[in-house]
Amino acid sequence: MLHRPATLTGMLLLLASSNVCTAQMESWTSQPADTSLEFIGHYENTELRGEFSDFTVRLVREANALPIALEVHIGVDSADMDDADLNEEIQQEDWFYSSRFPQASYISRTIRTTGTNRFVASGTLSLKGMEKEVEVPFNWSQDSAGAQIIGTLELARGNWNIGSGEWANDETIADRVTVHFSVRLLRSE
Amino acid sequence: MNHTDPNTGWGAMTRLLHWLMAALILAQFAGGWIADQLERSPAKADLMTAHKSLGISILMLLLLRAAWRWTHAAPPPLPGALAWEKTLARWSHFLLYVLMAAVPLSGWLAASTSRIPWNFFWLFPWPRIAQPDQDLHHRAEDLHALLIWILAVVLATHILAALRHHFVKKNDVLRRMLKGR
Repeated sequence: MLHRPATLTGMLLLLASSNVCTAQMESWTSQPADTSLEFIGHYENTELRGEFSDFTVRLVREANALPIALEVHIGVDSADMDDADLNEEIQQEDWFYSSRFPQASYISRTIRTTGTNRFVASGTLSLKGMEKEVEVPFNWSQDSAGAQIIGTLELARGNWNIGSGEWANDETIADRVTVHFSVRLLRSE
Repeated sequence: MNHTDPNTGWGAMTRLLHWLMAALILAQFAGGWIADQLERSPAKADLMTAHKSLGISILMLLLLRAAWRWTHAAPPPLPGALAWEKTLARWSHFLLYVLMAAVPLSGWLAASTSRIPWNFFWLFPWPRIAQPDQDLHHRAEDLHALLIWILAVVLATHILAALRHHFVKKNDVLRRMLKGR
């Protein structure tokens, strides 16, 4: 019985060791420059932005062809909203609770094509100990030096209990959070 | 025997503004102190929106009041007013006007320098008078706190003096701010 390996490395090893003739796989890894992962909350109808500085993205695709796997790991306590009060608040138990759940991850093994260099990944977002299925659309653009993936999606923070207790209602801080990423990738293997 | 010359009272507008602003300022002391005790929560966010909105309202009323005071003569001091009483009254009233402007302005500066925006009575975003800046924000908060203490001291003197005029000296100082004539 073939089971899906949990890690990208495992997946690559499985493919490499299989007897089935497969296309060459490429593994792409995120670079710190030209890379951002930001989230936008809505407080009383105005936007409050923050971004993560500690995260890695790995994408696997068939040689010069379609992406087949996407994996993101995020150090949640790297969230920065450019305000000391807000930064302290979002790490608390009602919000990210990073002391107990320091890492978040998104793992997708199913990526479908929706246009030229446009894809949608289907996978699991693990955050604050909760796992939910999330679709992540992204564009792929490649140049001589590397590639860039860019995408935007909306999440319902309540699905992961982000902003729990008194903050759970939609009034003061909206349930919907916009996530925007632009990631520079270099081929690593 | 004390009597009030019919032409030497405070007008209706002056009295209205005086007591309205007194009530709002006392409400601000209470609301601000309570908010300071609370943990971050939607309730605290709402209380702070009310506090900031009232602070700006006081600033607007102050403009109106200053304009009115500038264009309408104050009644003369009552007969029997001592020199030190007149001097203290003049200085403390002047100081009150300065503080009634400085306290909300320092609050507005503190709010402006925080990244968190706020809506005037939940209706529309209130403009900033400075850009978000952590350092300036903390200093504005400290200034706001200091000015509030000074205001509290001057207000206590103001209130005690009014009560002294009324109950000890038994004159019309308080009465003419309550009833005018």
